Amino acid sequence: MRWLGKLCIASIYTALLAPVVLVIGASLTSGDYLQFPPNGLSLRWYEAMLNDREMVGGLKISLLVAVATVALSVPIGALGAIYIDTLPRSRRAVVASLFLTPISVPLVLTGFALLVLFTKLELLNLSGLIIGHTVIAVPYVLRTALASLSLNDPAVPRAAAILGARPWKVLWHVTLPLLRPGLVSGGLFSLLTSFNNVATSVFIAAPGDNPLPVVIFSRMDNLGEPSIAAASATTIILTALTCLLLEKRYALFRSLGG
Amino acid sequence: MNEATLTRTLAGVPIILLLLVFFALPLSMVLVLAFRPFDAQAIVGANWTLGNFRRFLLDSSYLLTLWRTVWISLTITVLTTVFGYPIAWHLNGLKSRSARLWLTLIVLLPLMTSLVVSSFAWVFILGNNGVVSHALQWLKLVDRPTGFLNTTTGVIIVSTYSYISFSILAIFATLQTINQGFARAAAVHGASPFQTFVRVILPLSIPGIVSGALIVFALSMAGFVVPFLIGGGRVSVIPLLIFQFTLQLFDWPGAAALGVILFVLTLGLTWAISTAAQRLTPWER
Repeated sequence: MRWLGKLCIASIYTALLAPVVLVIGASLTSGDYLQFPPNGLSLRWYEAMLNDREMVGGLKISLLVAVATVALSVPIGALGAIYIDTLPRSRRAVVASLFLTPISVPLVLTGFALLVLFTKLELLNLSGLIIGHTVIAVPYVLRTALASLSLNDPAVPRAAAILGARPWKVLWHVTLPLLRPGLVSGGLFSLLTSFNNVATSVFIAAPGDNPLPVVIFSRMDNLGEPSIAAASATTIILTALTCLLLEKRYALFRSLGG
Repeated sequence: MNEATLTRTLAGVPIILLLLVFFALPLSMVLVLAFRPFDAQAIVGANWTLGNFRRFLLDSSYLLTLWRTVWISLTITVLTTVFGYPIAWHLNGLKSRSARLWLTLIVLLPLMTSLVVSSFAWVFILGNNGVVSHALQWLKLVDRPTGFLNTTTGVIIVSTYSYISFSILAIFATLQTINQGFARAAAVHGASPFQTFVRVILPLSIPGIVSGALIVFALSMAGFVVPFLIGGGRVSVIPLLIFQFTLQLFDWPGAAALGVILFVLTLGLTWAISTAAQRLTPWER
């Protein structure tokens, strides 16, 4: 009975890990088509990927959009959390849930709605893509920021004010540092959702300027092509490295479980 | 208004502007579109109509798609809970910090991988020449290559993989808050470990199960990437129809009406699930 349970748990972990191992493994093949285990090891498909203009361009756009999304969504979300914190207790929950509605609207609907708006505003370009990703990311930043604010003692900023700090000084030197853990995990989430997003980008990316996931999406019918595996593996490795680095610095996963 | 209140009120301006202009406005435009006729030349006609809704809600094939969307999503939700619970349980019981770190990373992998990337991996696993097909043949369970691409089963498997992290994280967070004393009290009163689990721990973890389930359900109801890539367009669901109406047929009023229908349906079912859950956990109120 005991070992049966252990076997079940081990097989679920294996299933979670397997696709990633398969993609990375298959991308290292030296053969002409995808197979696992790879037919000899080589980096030739990574070289092919680097010589593929669309893929390299897509990777650059993905990175740029992800960084810009973090740069926009973290301050906007943090300020939003500070704003909610000033409201009378009775109105807080209502305003917070209003600000969080983008989470509960189906992503396919948000993507389509943004396409409708951006067609009118002629924003079907890189700026539009960044705005779209920001709209999706801000609620997540707001949520984690609100969570860290609610853990803090409201007396701390008040104490700073009583000791003579000007309001913006209280904000900068007291409230923001208190928000930091929430902002780091919210920011990481924005970075990853933006970098990996396909459901929204498919609607609003300019045809010539597709981010990497959209490039992969549009080439899926050509499945034998190992450079897709190389591109996929690249996104997985970049994502995992970012997480591990931030975990080292901020002990992220310990805060995840709450 | 004093300076402190002013500073803090100004803090609300960016998020309010962003959500009004780039969220509320486009969604209202979609709502308007849903009541406009489709025009082959201009895409959107000038007058008002209920035709889009009539077309989808009175046609048995669209209603079937609606139903398929719901039951596929419910199946995915149940599967993520059934497979996610033991993993959350295991993570919660781990003592070693490094084991916990690495296993958490594995649990987060599906969440951190782009849907296109995991779909790509699964095409490779579930295809006619894929790993699963070879394994089934080797085990002599089937006598010829058997793939799961272009099937509902395939879509359910891949979606379950893609969304399971949400379920595990939510259940894990709740398990951490359960007072260990309850389990001990049950044991002292003579409950077997199984009874303790079913009568004490499981009911106490319902809030986590439900919050994970609600996220997974909402994501499954809205997902078109997996049905498109794994279902090969042969597993029709509402979000996939919206995608096809928008980018392949250019019938935007139709897409808008489908979007409104999907949104209302998701809200209604989400509300029903959370109300049912509240009935199950009277002590939470």
